[in-house]
Amino acid sequence: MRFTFSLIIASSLFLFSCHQEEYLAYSGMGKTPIYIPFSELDNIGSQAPQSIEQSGPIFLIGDFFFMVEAGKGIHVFDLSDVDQQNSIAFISIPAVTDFTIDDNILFADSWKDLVSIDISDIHNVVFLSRTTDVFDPFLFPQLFNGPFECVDENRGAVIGWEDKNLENVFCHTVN
Amino acid sequence: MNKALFIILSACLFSFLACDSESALSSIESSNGTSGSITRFATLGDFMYTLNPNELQTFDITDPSKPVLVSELETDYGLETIFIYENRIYLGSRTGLFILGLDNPAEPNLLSQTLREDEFFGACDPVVVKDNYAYSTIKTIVNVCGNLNTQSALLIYEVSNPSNPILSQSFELDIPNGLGYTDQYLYVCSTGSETLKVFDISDPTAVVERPDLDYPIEEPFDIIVDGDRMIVSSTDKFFILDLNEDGSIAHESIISK
Repeated sequence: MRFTFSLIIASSLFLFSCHQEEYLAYSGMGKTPIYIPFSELDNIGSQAPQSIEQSGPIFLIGDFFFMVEAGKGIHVFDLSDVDQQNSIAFISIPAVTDFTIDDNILFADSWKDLVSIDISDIHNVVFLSRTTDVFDPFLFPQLFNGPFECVDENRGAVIGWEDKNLENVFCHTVN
Repeated sequence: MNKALFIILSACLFSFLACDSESALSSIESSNGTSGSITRFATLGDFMYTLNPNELQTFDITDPSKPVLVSELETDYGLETIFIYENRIYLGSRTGLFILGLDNPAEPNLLSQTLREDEFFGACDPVVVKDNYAYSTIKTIVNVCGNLNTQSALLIYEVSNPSNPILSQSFELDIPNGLGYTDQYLYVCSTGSETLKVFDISDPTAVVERPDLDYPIEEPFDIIVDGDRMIVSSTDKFFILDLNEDGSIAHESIISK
């Protein structure tokens, strides 16, 4: 009965979801979380620029343009020179999904935590603080309909999802 | 259709990889900037407001090296985006539009919440506000006898009484995402039609579509309007567009790294 119920829900509201539900064991293609150890969450700092893989939330201050690369960090571009609008730096923030900037301070999420970073010098940003356990990160793949390996929060912070041939997983997105 | 939708909207997804670099010296001048419309973070004065799916959180950021969580306001599940305008907070949610008061900025209070009959989905149903009108894009998928249809729209609310927002106009759109405005025009990312849709909002009581000004753009996702230029993010790049006074859009630079 439970199985039928899950199937009906899963197929009735297809695609994206904001919940997860226990599901009868499933084997086959699906999603699996990509973890990093919690010890890596503090690897926050300026790095060399990177290409945009998947654009996220954006922010503009003067001619500096910021764009989240989900799970990894924030691209920084200098738009002042029309002919040289390249990325000038990448601010590494493991497990980031969103951010804002206020007076040279960048605030972002990093897994369940709020971090603050002084970005006065974009090439040498300074990690100021981590306020732990204030956010509820999604524990299921976004914009995905199907089975996935349930998140084991003891294994680390989830920074993304990848396709995998799953064996006996119990989680499935529903709507 | 569903596959295309899925691929396009996976702009909200997590993903990875790295590349190479080059560098120039620069530092950031002290000033506040502008966010895109799709965000869960916003600051005002000494406070920062952030969204969990079912609550608005208020942090005191007077000392940025020690933010303090000072209040939490619980809501229905589904908060997605935040926009602060003239001392009010507007939240886009999968169930409707929330308006909150900031008489006490340390503890925003709920003034109103619109309810939608359908449950809208997605991580990207933003709202922007100008004068007494809120412009909100929404997406939903409905299942009619096994056939999936998308229903997406721009909804315009009259919000002069924040305790009682009134739906004044709506326009059907094809998978809208972020939006932004100038004095006279509203620009909406229509991801489904790969177009920047233009609306004349000079008379907000009678907003007019301006298809003659629509601008084709690849997978538009979110917008920041900055004076006479506009930045539009796309899946793996962004565009810098010039805005002409007549609302038309010209000259693009495309940046991907």
